[in-house]
Amino acid sequence: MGSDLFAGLSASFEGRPVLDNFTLDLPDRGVFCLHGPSGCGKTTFLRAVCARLLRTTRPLGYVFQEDRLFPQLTALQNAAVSGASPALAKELLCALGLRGSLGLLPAELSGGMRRRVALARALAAVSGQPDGVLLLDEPFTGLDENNKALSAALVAAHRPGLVLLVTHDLQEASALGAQVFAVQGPPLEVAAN
Amino acid sequence: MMRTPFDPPKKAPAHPALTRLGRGLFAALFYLLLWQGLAMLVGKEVYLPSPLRVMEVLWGLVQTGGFWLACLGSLLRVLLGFVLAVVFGAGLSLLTSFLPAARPLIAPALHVVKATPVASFILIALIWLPGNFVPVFIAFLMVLPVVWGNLCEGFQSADVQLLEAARVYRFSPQKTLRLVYLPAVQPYFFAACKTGAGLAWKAGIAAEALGRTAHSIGRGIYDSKMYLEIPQLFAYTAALILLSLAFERLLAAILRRAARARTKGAPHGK
Repeated sequence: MGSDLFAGLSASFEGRPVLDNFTLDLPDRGVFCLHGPSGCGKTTFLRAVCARLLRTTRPLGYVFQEDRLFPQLTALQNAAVSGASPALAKELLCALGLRGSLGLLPAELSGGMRRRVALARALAAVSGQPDGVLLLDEPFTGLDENNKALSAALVAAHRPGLVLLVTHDLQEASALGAQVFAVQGPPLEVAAN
Repeated sequence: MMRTPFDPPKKAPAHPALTRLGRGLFAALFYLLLWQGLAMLVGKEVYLPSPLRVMEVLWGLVQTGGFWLACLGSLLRVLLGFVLAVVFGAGLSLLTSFLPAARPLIAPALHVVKATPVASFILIALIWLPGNFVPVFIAFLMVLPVVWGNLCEGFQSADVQLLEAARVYRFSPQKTLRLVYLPAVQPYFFAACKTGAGLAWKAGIAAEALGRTAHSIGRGIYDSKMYLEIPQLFAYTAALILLSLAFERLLAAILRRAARARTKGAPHGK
């Protein structure tokens, strides 16, 4: 039985329907990936799911397409900004190879480092929570192969009940062991499972 | 080392005599000489007294208790009007930015205040209020729309992506204000304070002059004009400029310190 989270999603951009009563028959637990070309509506799908989740009390972590770090907070403060314990945030950052950068501001970090801080922030918010949801929008963009593998392993170790990944890179999906849905659009539709 | 097209252009080394202070002194000297030249050209103190004569009168004034009492009185009135405007302006900007229904009510009133000549407000306030409160009210009224307008613009400039992140991580309204809105509003607030401080002095002293407020620089200026004591009028004006500059500098230092303290603030908690 599919989750209500993914049923009847609609959204438009500049008058053009991107999600037209889109429904994905997915269970409430697992790791799933929507794989498709840029601009087909994957991010809009994730945002629509996020909007639904915000009406619930389920713990939520979101790696946006952009890093969206708070510029006046250090890496550690950013990772713990959801209210997660600073110890967990520190553990995640250290596991991602950022031990020496905990006290640095986003402006002092490289693009790849900022990406890892964004990932640590999302994971800290939902780590190990069975009803938690982790939304990942091209999460490993800008990371080298070594850091991609490190990040994927960390997501696997700390993942909540439901992980939803959207990407145009199939390697990201396989690194997370996700069930892949090939999509196309707009409007978004499933091309193959 | 070889320079590439991407290297910033090399700055010419500053002449030792043209440091910041040196440039300031040079400009002051230039205008004092220009003033002296014009005063000699006009040749009548009642039209344009020389800078030396003005300094002489100012020196005489600073040796009287009345002068300092006038400076203190004006400073307190302008400061009170300014602070009230900042507090109310910030409150109103929060109200109009986050309660859309309040905007159609508040915005037109503040636009009218902004467009109305200060002289009209002073004359009306002189009928309504006791003399001592008129400069406070006028300084308040002139600064209020500036603070309100700037802060509204600041709130609108908040990063929508960070706002979305704040919603996702379920920030409390206070935390969203602290981490998203305040950093966005800060430069607008500083600009409003800087502009507002100058306006508060100009409007407040004009109100003191028209209302002949006791113990005020405005009254000193008005009386000097009445008795054609033009060097004294210039001396009061010079004192006013110095006081206003000191006020602006102090305000800038306080704002810089507040900004540093806010950046260092603890970010945790919902």
